[in-house]
Amino acid sequence: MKAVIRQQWKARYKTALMLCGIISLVSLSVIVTGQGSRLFENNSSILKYWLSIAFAAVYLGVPLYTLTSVITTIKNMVFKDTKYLMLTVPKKSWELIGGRLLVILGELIAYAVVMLFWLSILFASESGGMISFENQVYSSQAAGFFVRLGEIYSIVFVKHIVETIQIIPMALIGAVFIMMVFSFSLTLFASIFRHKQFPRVLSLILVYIMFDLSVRLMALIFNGYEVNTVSALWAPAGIIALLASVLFAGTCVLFEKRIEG
Amino acid sequence: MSALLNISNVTKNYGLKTALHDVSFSLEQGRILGLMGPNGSGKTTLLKILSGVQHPASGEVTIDGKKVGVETKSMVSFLPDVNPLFSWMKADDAIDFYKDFFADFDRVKCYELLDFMKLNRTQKVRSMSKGMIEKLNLSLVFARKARLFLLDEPLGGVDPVARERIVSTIIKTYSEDSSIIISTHLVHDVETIFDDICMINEGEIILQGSAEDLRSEHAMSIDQLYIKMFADKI
Amino acid sequence: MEFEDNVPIYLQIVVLIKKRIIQGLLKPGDKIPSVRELAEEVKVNPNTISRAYQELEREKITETKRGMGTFISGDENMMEAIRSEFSASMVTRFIRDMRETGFSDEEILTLLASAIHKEDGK
Repeated sequence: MKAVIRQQWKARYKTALMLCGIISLVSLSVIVTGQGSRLFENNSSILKYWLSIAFAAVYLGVPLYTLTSVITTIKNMVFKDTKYLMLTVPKKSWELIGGRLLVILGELIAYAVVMLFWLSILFASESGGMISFENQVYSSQAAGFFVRLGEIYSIVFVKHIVETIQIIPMALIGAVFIMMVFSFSLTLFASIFRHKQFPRVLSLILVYIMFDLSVRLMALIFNGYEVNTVSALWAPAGIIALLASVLFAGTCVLFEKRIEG
Repeated sequence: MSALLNISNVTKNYGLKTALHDVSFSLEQGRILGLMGPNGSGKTTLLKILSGVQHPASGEVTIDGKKVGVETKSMVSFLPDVNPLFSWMKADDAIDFYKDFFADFDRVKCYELLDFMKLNRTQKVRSMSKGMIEKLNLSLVFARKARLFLLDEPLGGVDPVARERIVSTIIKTYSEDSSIIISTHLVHDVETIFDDICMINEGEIILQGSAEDLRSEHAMSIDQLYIKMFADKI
Repeated sequence: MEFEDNVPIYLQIVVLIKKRIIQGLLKPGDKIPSVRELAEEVKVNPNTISRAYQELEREKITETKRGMGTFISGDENMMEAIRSEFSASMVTRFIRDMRETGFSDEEILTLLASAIHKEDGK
């Protein structure tokens, strides 16, 4: 699988780099305009909404786009008549899909690091200590930028290091689960509809089914489950990880069968 | 010694269309087979099945006694008719790719072939002409010590000089341990390099046998035989 | 190399080698090109070349010396035999073609004589 990872990374890293650049530039511009504080104001100003939307577009858009890229990869291999180079190599389907998955996770980690870095700067550079972090209102403007920055990092990496370390794998599990929902739905579709072409209409139906299924699943399993501490998240995380594994296995099996014709 | 490649009763459907119907033949090692037929006759589908990109709806294919799968993929070198390389690749990237995935890939041989075909390694696939892409893919495919080479229309869209080079490369690559299947329209140019011939129409084999035997039997070139067989069919 | 349609390729290769012998391109005792070399030169399947070589061996035009390769046999009579074989087939074909076109045997002889005379005169 190493080879798959290496080659998939080669295919993606330039795009990933550019997206990191976009995140950085957008964040930088928000900070530079000095209007970043508006994001945290307790009002309904148009500026706040505009900033929020622009920010969200990039901060949510990039990861979402990356998560859905797993669909393109599988779609190419299964449906297209030309992009099947990966199918001619002597690797099992779990290696092909798994390798792609790991590369995407790597990308997501890179984006997360960049985003959190810029967020920390944004929080630290805001005028006025109106930001309260876990009910700890930290130093006000008088203390200076770097002091505040230092405080943020110490809160995350020192005071709450236990939680921080736990959240990382959970986030990854969540990402994997989402991607596996996508992959499984796609390959399920492919096994049922054994046509060569992938009708566009189907993608809409696919998206609907995916959301519908995941919501029902969540409701079923986590009905009334409240989360108060980070450690309480492990139980659901575990279940989701299990589900993700099942979907991964299912995807691989269907993938083989689809190629089976 | 059993044949290197065995195809029995292979059928493949795409929805309602039958691409291949009850196709059977075998190929000994050390032979070059010409697969001939009009567009849409099933040649590409057959080659895709042999390379493991598709599986038949029914029937069996074995290569060196093994069912088509991950193991046979390492023995088969496939040159599709449409460029399979990713557009982000340069020639060097494609070489790395092959080196990464195929243990039998010989980088040095690839460089030699690229020189022979007069190709620049640092060029991006995106900016190459169709002929250049064909030459690159051919060099990659032949730089492997595969047991079975599958070439889907390797001569189309290539100028006569390049065609000559490609034919030379095919003959140079020939070895007694491996076999080559070439699907082509351009029968006249290359019929002398075939040991065996297989003519296919609308998913069914209409003629197969040794090239020399067929020539004697019908007292005509394979090219003329092809015309005769397909005259009323296309 | 252009190949005729209705003669097996391997026989045409045999003829090619024989022609080279008569033309002096391959002399008795010379090593014949390897199967691969000849295959690449004339763009013909190596198996076909092998078969042609087997035929040449059978007709004793070539001989294989263990560990050394295959050579044109040094037999003087062999050269003569090939020359006769070629001339015979060419002459036969010529006469047959002329007769088929409607020329009488006398006409054939006369035309032949004057044509050669013209050739000499050049």
